[in-house]
Amino acid sequence: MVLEKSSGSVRERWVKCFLPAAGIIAVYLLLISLGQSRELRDLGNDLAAAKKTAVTEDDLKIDVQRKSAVEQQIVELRKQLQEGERAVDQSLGLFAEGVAAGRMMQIDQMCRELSIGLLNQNSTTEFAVSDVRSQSLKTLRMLRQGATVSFRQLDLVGKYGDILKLMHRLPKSISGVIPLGIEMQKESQNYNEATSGQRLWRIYLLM
Amino acid sequence: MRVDVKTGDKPVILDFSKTERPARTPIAAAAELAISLNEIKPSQRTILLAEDLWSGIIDIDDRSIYGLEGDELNQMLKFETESQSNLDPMTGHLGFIELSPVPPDTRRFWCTSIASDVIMGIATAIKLRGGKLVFCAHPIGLANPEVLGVPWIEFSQTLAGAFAVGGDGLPRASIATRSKTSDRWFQALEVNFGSELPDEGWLMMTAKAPEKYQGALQSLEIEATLRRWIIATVKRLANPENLPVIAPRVPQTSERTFARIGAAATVVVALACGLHYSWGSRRKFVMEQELVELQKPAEQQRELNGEMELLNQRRAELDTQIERIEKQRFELGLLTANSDRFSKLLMMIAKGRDKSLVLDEITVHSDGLQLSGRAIRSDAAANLALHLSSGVGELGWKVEAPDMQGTNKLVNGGPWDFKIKLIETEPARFFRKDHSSESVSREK
Repeated sequence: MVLEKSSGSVRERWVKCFLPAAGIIAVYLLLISLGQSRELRDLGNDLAAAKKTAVTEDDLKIDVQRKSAVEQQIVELRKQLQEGERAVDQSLGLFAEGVAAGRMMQIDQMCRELSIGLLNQNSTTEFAVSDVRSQSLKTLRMLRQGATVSFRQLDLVGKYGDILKLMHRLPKSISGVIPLGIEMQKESQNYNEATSGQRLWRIYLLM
Repeated sequence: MRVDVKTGDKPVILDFSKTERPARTPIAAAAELAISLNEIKPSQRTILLAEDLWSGIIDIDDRSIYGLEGDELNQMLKFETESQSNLDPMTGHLGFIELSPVPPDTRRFWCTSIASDVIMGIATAIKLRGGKLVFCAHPIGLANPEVLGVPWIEFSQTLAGAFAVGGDGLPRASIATRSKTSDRWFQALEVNFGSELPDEGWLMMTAKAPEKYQGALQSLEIEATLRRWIIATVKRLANPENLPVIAPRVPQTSERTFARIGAAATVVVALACGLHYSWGSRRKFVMEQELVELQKPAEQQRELNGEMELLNQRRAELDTQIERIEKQRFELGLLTANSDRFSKLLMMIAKGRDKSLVLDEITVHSDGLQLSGRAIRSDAAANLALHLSSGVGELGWKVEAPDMQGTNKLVNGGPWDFKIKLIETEPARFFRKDHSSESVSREK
């Protein structure tokens, strides 16, 4: 049996004529165009999504301005910090100036000028200051990096007015000396003319 | 004769030329001769009218062609007209239209036929001159002399025809071959037409009117009449489906042409695919670029956000450091500020003390100072406390109401022992004024 492979009809000839072109189209569509179309569609979706969430130039400008503002704030804060540190250093400097013996000499000199008798002077590391100031002393100790903060207890005898002058002059004339407390003791029983108007005083100094 | 016509609603004869056709000239040669009558290239819609074609009416029993149409009917009519046209049904070309049927069961057709080699020769002759043959037709019955619906008669040298078109239904036509020896053709013409012959019509060139016919004929020998006939013919040929015209067969496409078309189609398709791919790639590139451009600000924003995060951390660290340093500063300020406050306190006590009041003792307590003494007057201690409270607030103390106890040595219960407590105030309250003053000095 012989199979008829070609009828030779015009239709068949037209089909044969366009077969290569149809083949190219088919191959192109299947192997290239479909993939490309898919990529384009995906890209289109990505693009649409990106457009929806796109960051505008205005947004960027706002962010840049915000960043600039924060940078400016940081500059200001640094300046503020430096000023604070400088102020703290300045405060600490008061306690670092001079030596305790020198200060005591100055105090002694001042007492003599004001006719105040210096009965006793004791050094102590602890002093029962008020709760309000105990935190300040802790801070001072910490900032002085463990250096001992010494307290001085002075027992004086003098008139009220002279002690007032002493308490006024002490912190102003001798740097690093800060009065923390004052006590006036009761008048003693052995009152005489020589000690008239004079009282026993105890002052506590931070040096 | 060659006529160049501008077609349209009102056809216009552009050129009209004619010459005698030499005797026994084949129709193809006659067509070539007509074309050469002027220098103008023949139209791409050239129509050839020639009496050389066979044209006639044929009646067929309806039953014999029942169900046939198109090519089958055409082939059938070729066989039926073979005896009259002497054309081979297998090779001849035939054009036909169906006319009004003849009752009871006869269908009537108006046919025109030509040998295939003849029409091919005509088409080739016209093609060689640059034109294209649209169709051929016999000139008889093409043009009615007056308005539509009025029947007319035509006499040519060899044929006679009576025609009626328009109105409802199919057209009527009767065509008879003229004979010089008998007038039975005239009777047949009248009988086949089905009614009396029309009173007016055309008398073709070189034709003579039959003696029996009494109507008025317009001779195409007169040029004005001929021109009118041409215009009427052109109008009717604008709808050739109502006339028995014969179009030349389209030559069969050669293998070479197929190959060329195939190659061209392949190249075109390949180019189109290439262009499409190129367009797609270009579009993809553009979209990717656009995407990158769209994402750039987002990346910049991400970078900015990262930087902002670091800066915010740095700011928070600085805030913490400043808070710490401000606290230290505050604590130290608490120690150093108002360092002469004890002298001020002594001054205030001295100024506020009543003469009836004796201050015996000042003692230090964990929460501040205590003033102890005696007073003759019961209000002296309160006055002192009142006086102090107006000023010591700035120095960091708060004055409490005095505790008093009368010794009952006098008639009024006095003198009174009193105690006034000066309580250290909260650092904030103490420091606020001092801190603000420092801030002011810093701004300066």
